[in-house]
Amino acid sequence: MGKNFEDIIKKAENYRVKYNNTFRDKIIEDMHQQISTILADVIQYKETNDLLGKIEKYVDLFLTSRIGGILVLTIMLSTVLWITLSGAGYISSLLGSFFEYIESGLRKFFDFLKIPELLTSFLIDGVYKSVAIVVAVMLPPMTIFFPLFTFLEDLGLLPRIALNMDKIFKSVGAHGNQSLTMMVGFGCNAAGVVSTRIIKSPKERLIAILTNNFMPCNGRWPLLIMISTVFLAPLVASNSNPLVGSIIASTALVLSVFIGLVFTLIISLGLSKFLKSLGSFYILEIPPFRKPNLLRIIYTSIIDRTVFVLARAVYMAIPAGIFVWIINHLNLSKTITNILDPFGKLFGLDGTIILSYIIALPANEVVIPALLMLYTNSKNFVEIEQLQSIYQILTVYGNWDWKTGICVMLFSILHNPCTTTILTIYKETQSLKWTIIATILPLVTAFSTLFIVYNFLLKHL
Amino acid sequence: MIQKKYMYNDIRLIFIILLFILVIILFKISAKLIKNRKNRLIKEKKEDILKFLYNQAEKNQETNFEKIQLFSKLKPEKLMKIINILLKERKIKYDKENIKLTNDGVKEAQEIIEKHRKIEKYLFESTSVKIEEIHSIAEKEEHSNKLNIELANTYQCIDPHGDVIKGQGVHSFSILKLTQNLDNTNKIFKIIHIEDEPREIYSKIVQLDIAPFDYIKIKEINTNSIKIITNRGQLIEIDFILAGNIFIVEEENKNEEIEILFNEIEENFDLISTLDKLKINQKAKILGLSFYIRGEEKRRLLELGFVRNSLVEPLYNNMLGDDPRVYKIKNTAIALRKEQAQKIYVQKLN
Repeated sequence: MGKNFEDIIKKAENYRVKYNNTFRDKIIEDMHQQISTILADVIQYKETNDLLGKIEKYVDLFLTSRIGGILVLTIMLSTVLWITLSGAGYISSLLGSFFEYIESGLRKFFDFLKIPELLTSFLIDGVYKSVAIVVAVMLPPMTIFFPLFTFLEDLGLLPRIALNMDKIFKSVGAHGNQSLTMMVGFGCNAAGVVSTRIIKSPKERLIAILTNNFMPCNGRWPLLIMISTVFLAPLVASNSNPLVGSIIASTALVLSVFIGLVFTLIISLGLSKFLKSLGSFYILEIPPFRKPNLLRIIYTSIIDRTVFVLARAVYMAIPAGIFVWIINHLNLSKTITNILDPFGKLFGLDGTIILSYIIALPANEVVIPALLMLYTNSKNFVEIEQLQSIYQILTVYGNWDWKTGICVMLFSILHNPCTTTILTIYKETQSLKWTIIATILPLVTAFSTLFIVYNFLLKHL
Repeated sequence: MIQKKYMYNDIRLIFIILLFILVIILFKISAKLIKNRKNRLIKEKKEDILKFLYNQAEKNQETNFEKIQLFSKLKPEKLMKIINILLKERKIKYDKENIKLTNDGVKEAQEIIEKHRKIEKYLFESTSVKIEEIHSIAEKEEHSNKLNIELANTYQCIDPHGDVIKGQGVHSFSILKLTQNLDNTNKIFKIIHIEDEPREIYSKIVQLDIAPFDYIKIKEINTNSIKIITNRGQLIEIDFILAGNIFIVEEENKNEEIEILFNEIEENFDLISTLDKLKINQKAKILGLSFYIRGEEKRRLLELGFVRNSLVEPLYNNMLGDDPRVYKIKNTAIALRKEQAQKIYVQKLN
């Protein structure tokens, strides 16, 4: 028996040497041939000359033509973003009042239990409120954006867009699928990082993970919209002409996304030069168009994306809430802002803006509430709906002008990822080194860009 | 008050002692690190010298002290030290003024070379490290003691340059460089080894897509280049500089399968092309994939049905041009980039 076994091993080794590297190919070739002979007997293919097949072919040709490709991409993106942003505010305020209702209930309950004032304040003002605000601002855009995006995914439209965009990304050493992960990044950078799993080759995947942050996520849109409407639009159009104003504002928004795109490409190029010893490959399956499956859409978008991101955000919001509470109760905010002020001034920002970005580490959504809180010296996050009153607070208390607006906008696009995203990057790359690089790299990019733009350009205007 | 002062003094004393201990520990650790590094460097040099001696012996060349020095670029005193260590370990011996490996030395050199090939094989099959970088990484990693478990378990016997991992080096066979066979036109040879040093030349050979185990037929000999046909139907012109790094062997008994293949190739020569050169809706049959499509990429392509004799057809380009392009294979649409399509050989069908 033992001898027999050794004989077999020896025989196998001889075969390996004889057929060398084609051994595996030969087996797979044989398998394919056998399968196709079997299939030829049992399966009949419908002729693809019927109407549906023809339509599908023409749709494909249209989607991959120059006009069609660009048209579909722009319409799709702008529609999805518009629906998300216009719908989110409404649900957000509903959720906000719901959380307020719970808060008052909680307060009564704590009173009833005779829990000391300080602890109540710590638990409710510190922990509960920050979690509530993160959920209230983060959840609505995601519940709208992700189902819409998953719908397009299920339809089979996205691989064709990735195909169209590949040449641009190839020129900087990245993968065409990165365009899809960037689109998910519009919804949430953490989800964008997770979605890089569709990129199979490790180098391109790493590039996509590290640059996803340059796409403004849902949390940054409100700030960008606010600045472009109340700071940039009035520069050109008088307040009496709303149409021109909104055109300017939307141009500024598109421009800011464009800046993010340019930085994505530049950083991708640098990274691919840095990682040049790794090779790459590109194989993309183009699925046929199909009828979207509603259940699957809801499952993927709500469970896989929204809940998953939200859970991590809540997890990161608790320590941030405690941090804010401590700062406010020890009246530290003025001291910290004063320390940070000269540093911020170098980049056209100020200490308050930098502190509010530190507070907003767990979620970019709370930048505006934190700013308002710090400027108005209140004890809690301040939420204001009207853009005009935000404008007044920022200009009166913070001495903002349009230059500050541009600087904050740039910083918002380029700054470090939120802690939720950082945590996700660590989970995805399993490497502390790349997580740190993913955090530091955008921060360095943001500060150096701002330094140049502010000191050499904006200051002299 | 006084007590407190004493207490401060005590704390200071403890602090100083602690600092002292810390400094000693740091010193010891750094000394150990330096020693480790020194030992590692000596080990690397030792192994490099053994490998060098082994290669020289395979080429039937005598090796003396100066030759080793030229190879290792060490100072004579340092080299002498290492050679003395090797002599003590009985891995080398003096034969008059020449230095030779003992049986122990041969064994160790073989082990190192085997390790080198295993690492190269692993990098080639399981990572996406570029093919030109594989040799230099293997050159570094072969000295480390801990070999990756995955690596140790790979039961593959041929490295990416065509060498049998547990076998002898290329120089021990009765094989020829491509430049040595100039009179043998229209004969079929098998490439069995491609030298991976120097890197620039190797990378050029890779770009021409000439790989170990290809069969080639010499077609034409010019003053400084050779024209060959490969078993994938490509007519390639090779410089003599490149040809000198390609080793071929003539098969002892006639291999009819290969002869039929070459006859077929020459009959259909005009129809053979690569996937990227096909026009839209031009149906074709796949002849094979390049040797340099490897690892994960190869697995994916084979899974999708890019195997010999499958039918393939370009469907449409993308918005910005023909890179990447969508191909129809086994009733699915797959997009491939140009560089990949270039490495897939096809024969056009009418």
